[in-house]
Amino acid sequence: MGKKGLYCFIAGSVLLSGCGGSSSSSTETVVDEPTELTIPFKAMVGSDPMTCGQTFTGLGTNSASVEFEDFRMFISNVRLVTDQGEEIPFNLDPDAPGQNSQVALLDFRDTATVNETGDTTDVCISGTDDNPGFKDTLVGSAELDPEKTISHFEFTIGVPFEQNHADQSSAEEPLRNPGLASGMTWNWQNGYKFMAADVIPVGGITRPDDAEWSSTAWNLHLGSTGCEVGTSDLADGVAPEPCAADNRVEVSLPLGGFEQGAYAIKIDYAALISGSNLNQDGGGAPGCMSFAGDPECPAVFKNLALPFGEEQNDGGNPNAVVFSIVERQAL
Amino acid sequence: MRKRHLRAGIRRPVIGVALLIMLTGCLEQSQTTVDDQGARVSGFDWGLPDHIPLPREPEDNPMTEAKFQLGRHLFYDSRLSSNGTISCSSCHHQDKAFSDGLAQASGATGERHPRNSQALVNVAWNNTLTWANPSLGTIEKQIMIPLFGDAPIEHGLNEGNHEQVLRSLQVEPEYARLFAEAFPDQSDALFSDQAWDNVVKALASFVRGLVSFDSDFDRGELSAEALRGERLFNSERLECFHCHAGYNFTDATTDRLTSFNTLLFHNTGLYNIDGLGAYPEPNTGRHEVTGNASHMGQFRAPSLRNVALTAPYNHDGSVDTLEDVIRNYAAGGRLEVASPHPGDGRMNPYKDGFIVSFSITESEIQDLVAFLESLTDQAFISNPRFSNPWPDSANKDLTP
Repeated sequence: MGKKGLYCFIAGSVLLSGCGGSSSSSTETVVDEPTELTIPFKAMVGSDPMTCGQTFTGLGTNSASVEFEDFRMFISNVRLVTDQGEEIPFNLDPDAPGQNSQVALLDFRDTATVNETGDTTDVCISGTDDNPGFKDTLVGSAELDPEKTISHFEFTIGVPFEQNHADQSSAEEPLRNPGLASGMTWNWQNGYKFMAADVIPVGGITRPDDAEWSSTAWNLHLGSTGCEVGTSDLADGVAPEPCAADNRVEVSLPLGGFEQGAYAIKIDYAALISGSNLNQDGGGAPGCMSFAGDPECPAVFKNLALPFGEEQNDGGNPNAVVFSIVERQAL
Repeated sequence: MRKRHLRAGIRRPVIGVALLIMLTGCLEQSQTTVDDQGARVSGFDWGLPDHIPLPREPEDNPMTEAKFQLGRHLFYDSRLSSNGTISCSSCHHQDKAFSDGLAQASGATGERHPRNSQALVNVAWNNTLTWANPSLGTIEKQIMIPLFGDAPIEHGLNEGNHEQVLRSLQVEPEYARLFAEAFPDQSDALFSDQAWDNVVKALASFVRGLVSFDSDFDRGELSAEALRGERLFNSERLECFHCHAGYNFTDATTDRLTSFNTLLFHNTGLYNIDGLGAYPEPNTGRHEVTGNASHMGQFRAPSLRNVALTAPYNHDGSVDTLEDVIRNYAAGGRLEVASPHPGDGRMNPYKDGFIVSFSITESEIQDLVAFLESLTDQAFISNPRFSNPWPDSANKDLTP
């Protein structure tokens, strides 16, 4: 670990005066090699760690009880932001498992069954082995300058546009299907699920206006929608057409005094679905499929600070409730 | 912009530019004096009549006979499913122009597909795939849906079984040869991490090669009835030819001479369940993908080649006969009085402008059907190149 000068990356007003504010605190001002860093993420349900095979209670507007079926997300465009607003890229290590230089697939499903031939089966049920695809840490490096104070950690939930619409069967991991991206593809929209948070609510899911209807899984699938091809699939060298709604979540978190290496990113499922009734569906696919007009989406998109329909949902960075900086050791 | 690599760029010869320039002075695009050589170059023997332009071939998956043959074996192989019960040919029967005769089919786990299995006829010329998906521009991308899709489950391949399914292919001795021939540049096309990509590319090559241009119509052998039907088809009274346009009888056609890819979908007034134009979920057509209200009920006009073999009709198989399809158009849409989806489709506000009502006699309907029957290609449905290549075996799907 190239930790030289790492002690200087302490944010917070108390320490700021002693670090980076003047050149006297450091004899090195030239950054010659990137600092290797790991950024752990922690999936939580309120104050409890998210695990497979366990029932979590008291969720959403009707205090639902659920078990997890899937909890994964693609992270890209990771950067550290200085107190001067400068963005320092966090370069993902392409050789680390579950990530390439552009995108990482966080997979919070902690268990799986591995059969006698080594195949992974039945991911995320209770009483089984570790899921070989489990990943909760970004591995990479950043060109940290002891003169600069990092104040924010920022990232995008989503697959960058160019990779999102490329062929999946030949894609570089973790975007390959079949492969690490199995179950995270969203082929009818020609792309990937940026986030899949699928739960099985106790008591199932019903529709108030349709007694014949029932379902078992309340799914949150975040992804770009309204992606129509045009000339790009006909003519070489033409950039793919943009999607009507790209639905990539920008997350910006103030470090609030934590130094590099001392914090983790908490993702709170309970906060994510705080405005949702997980035992009920109002139409369309059960849960929120990012789809314009999906009645379950407004509450979730609001918590992600994502525009949905007429709602801009941009007031005051509400996604900082779903995502927060916590102390690494505390988890 | 950087050129895309993974995306299926399309093999387009330099004449595209020349044609574009010419187009400004010649919007008809019918006859050009452009050197046609590039547009007719392919490593594959398409066996087309001279007047049919070659279809596009993805830059990263040019057609070869070896890939076509590998794809044919995979198409008829039920090991390519979660439980060995479903192959592509389970829902795409050659004798029905690769449709299946059902309103809606069920996948490997028994889940019913909400839409009718489409015929596979000249798919290579479609500018979008499936009934109404404007995001699918290549067969390679489309094939991922039946193989790996989970809503609905078709072949049922997933995270938990794909390695096992691939192994079941790897133990087949025929595949060692077929994969090696299809992908000669790869050292181990069946066992490397490109194996699944190779499966997809080969399947796409087979489907792309399902070509039908040898009907009575193509040979100019129309009966008196069919000739009368052809005139009706092309009449401004019936308006059929606007959407079922050109040599492939659909306006969703592109080929190597096409410069502008206009995606066309149409609402034909089949449903109107809320009086505001809604189609029953999940079959809301292009709207299902775009979320755009004005796209409600819009579907791609299917090719009419071999249409007499592909009953029942429409996206959900809800119309039994060609005669009834014609009657719906004559009425300017479908009035449904019975459940489950009553409503007056004739009044659908999103209905295409060409779905106008028209008067038609029963004998004219029969003439029109005779014309549609003249688009049946007997050679296509009996062509041994498109048939099941596997010798009799419990492992391989022999349907039909």
